[in-house]
Amino acid sequence: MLKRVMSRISSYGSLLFFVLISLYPLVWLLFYSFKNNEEIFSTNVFGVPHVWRFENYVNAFDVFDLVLYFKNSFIVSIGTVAITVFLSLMFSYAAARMKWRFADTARIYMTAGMFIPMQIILIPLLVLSRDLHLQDSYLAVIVPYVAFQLSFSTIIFYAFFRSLPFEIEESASIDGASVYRTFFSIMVPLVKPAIASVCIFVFLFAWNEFLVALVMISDNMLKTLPLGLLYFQTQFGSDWGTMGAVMVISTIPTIIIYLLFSEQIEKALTVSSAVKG
Amino acid sequence: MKKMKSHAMAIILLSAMVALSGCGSSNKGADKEVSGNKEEQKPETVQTVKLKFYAQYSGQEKAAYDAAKEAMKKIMPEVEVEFEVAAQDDEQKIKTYAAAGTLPDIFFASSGLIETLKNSDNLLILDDAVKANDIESKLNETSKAMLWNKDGHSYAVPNVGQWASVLYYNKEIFDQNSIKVPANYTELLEAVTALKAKDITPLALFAKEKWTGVQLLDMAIVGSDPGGLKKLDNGEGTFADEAYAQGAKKLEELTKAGLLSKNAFNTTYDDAVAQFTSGKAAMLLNGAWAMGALEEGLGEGKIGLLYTPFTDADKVDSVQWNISGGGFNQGFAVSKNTKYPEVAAKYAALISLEFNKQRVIQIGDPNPVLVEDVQPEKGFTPIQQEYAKDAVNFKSMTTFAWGFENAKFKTVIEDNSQKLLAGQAADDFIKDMNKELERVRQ
Repeated sequence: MLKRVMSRISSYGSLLFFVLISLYPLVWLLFYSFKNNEEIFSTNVFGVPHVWRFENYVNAFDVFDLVLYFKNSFIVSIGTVAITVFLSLMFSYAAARMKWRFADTARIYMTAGMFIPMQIILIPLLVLSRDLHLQDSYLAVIVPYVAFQLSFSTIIFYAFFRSLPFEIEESASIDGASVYRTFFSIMVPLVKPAIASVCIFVFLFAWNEFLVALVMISDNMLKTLPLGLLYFQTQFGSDWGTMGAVMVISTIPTIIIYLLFSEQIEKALTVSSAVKG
Repeated sequence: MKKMKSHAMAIILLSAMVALSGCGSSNKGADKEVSGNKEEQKPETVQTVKLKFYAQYSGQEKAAYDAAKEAMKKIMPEVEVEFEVAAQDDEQKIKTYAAAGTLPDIFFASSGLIETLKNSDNLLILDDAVKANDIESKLNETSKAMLWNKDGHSYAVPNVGQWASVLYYNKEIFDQNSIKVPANYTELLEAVTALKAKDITPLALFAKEKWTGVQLLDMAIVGSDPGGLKKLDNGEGTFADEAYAQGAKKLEELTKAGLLSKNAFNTTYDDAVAQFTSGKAAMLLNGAWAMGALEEGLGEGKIGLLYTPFTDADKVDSVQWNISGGGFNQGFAVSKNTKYPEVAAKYAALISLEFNKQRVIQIGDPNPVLVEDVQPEKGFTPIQQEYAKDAVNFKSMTTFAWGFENAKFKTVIEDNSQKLLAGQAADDFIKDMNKELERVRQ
């Protein structure tokens, strides 16, 4: 009995410790959003704020056009997720389940995109977007984001499609389903867990991405949240407390997205369970 | 249920598409001004001219920009400027713009950036605008030199005066601990040792920005040789020279005595300021431009300025006003590819003066570039008065690290001065630097 209690305490204790370590950065951010620079950097780095400065949150809305930046980040992130998932699902299906001459070559070509660092292609990207007249529209960032995320998402979907038994499609085709019908009604629902994981990863990437947005967006009306945060940085230092408040608010959607899809991600790790006899 | 989900998915997809297709056309007006249309090839007449202006349009300077823009409406009513907030990104964005040929019409350019963009033929020469608008006669004597680049042209009209590099000190800490405010090197070393013993960081250096270490070295050298590191940048002298070797040795000695905190190289500006204003650090190195913000943080009358505390006691009187820091041809530059070269050049030249005037009025900048006597709205604070009084006596200035013209030298001195401050022996530093100087001067 005592042994069992002890082993429970030790296993749960260590897990609890791990939870605390994982969650502390979020708590720290929350505290920091109520402090001023002096507390953040010098007098009270890790603890509970001495004075709860709610004005940081008021400033976040007054000084900082939070609603506009939020809207822009949402449009960019959701647009990127939608287009990426749509294109990579179709491509992966074609590459994984259909026999055509350059299937493997095309897949390797798509995967190669993973190895191209963003910084290298910034200048050509800027020239391209200017020539295609994408500048000063959301597409100036959405198109590069999609291009960068396609390789990662096709790898995931490809692996999933490969793991499904061919008999499913055979029976569908015997029942008279067209390729499209098979794809949309049968195959896509089967890879839902993968779609969920890709959605989360791509959304987080687009939500947090800074470098491409910095270079491609110059119009204030199109700025995303990470760019908006630059507003607090001046040559004479930054208002970190208000920045913290904005960061807390802008972290909420990502947490919600994660909570919504986390179950699907767990399923994704056990894909075979999606196909039951 | 499944149907519901797939419908929802379809609706999300559709709405995203609609949102996207909508935004592609939402900015047609802006598009036109960037890419230009055929009709606008006419000569520049009274039609509205829209200019993109990339500047540090945030924080306390925002008020000065806004006021300058308003004043410019009276002088050039046909011009409409749209500010873009410059990123604190080490000029990454503006250089990318230059490489892609999409520079904004007017942008803030440091002297280093001016050298880079001059070589890539991206800058408009402003000589005509400077002469036509009689800019030189409006600048005071110390600022006239900053109008011209060493190649004899003007690429930007100065919009801020020459700033000294300063060691700010917290008067209260020195008073409370009965430590004498250092007037020469011997006293500085004593003060550092005494502060260290009391567990107070003697100097908060935000060495995450490499220029601060270079500036500290420059201040240490200027006490013996007014040329400072600028002289080396110009290709004269080496670290074998007495003044330079002595400067390095002084820093070695101070570092051993505990001048900096252990994590100085991870310290950002905000971090250093927080240490300084909270009383954890006694001194802080920065340019004099930061005095207003620092005084606000510490409280009026509680902050003092040191210009040359590294000088040997017997030389103080003769070198007291040899100052580290300075100014150079930097300010609002104009892109060579702008569609309205004449208008943009005139606007950039005039708004530089207006901006400086408004800096005095709005922020109380005690360091004007204009002949015209301008008074700040709220009057000068004690420290601004002190600086204005001192500035009259300045005999010579060097430069800040971003004003070095030899980019290789800048990199080398930044890296090596960090090593010196991290505890490298001064002799090794001198040996390394002399080797590097030979290399960068080839």
